[in-house]
Amino acid sequence: MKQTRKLAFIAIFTAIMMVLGYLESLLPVSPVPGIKLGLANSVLILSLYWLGVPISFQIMIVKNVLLGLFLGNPMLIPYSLAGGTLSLTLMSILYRRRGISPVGVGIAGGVAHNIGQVALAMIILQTPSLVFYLGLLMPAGAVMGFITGTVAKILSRHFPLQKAFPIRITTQTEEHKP
Amino acid sequence: MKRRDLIILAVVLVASLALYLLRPQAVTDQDATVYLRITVDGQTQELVALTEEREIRIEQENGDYNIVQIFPGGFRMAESNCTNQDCIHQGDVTVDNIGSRALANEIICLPHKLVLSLVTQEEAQQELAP
Repeated sequence: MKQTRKLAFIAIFTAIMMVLGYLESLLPVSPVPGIKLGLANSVLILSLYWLGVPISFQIMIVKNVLLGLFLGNPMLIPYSLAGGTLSLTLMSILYRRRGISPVGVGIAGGVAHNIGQVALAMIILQTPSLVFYLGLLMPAGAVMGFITGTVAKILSRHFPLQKAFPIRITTQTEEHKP
Repeated sequence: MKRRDLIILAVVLVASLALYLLRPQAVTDQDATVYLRITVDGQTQELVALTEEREIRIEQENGDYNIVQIFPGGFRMAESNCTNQDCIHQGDVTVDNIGSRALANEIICLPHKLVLSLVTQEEAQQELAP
């Protein structure tokens, strides 16, 4: 039963993230490429707290690859994966630390996403001067991360799944195996 | 917001400010000829003096193409068959607006691995030297 519920949650989280990513792609093009809300990150932050680090990485990778194919931008998938990996790595390090709320996790994640993408662009295009672009992207990433983190915080308060679903699902189900 | 959230925010803002202050500035010598450098996949393809009005077509083996409009002192991306059209939306690059553009002296077409940069005469000469 628990395994089934976990699987259902993984599927729902992935689906919600893909829908949010798709909806954002419909917004008017920003004059500054690279700046976006990244609302799907709210769901990923929740997934960190509820489903743990390894599952969150799986969700992030599946979401980015599928959405890249879905939106017809397969050339850009490596960029979203670079941003997503750096972002989720940093968020995984921070999310259980004392004195850090989902808001701080969101800010760090948003900024790390920008850094990951720009770093890959610097390598692929061999254009080191792109680093200065981060001077503009990082404050934007912090604002967007503040919003996504706050959304994650509000969601976790209104859907206190932790009660039904104590944090480490993987270890729990393993203990209950006959 | 907890205490360490604020520390994260402060670190980000300080780093951003430092990068912002260090960013490339507008070309100072307004009279000297400036050049357009076309880079594909990290390799410089062409250096074009920005002295006249004309269009340059950049075609790659896989069918990717971009059309750049150049004019005295600047250039813009006029057309591209890339998926996201971000390069078109990046607007004009001119000697005067480098300091105020998000991407400073560059227009980038990420899907085509294409970078257009406005470079000064000295930079262009350095690159032409063997």
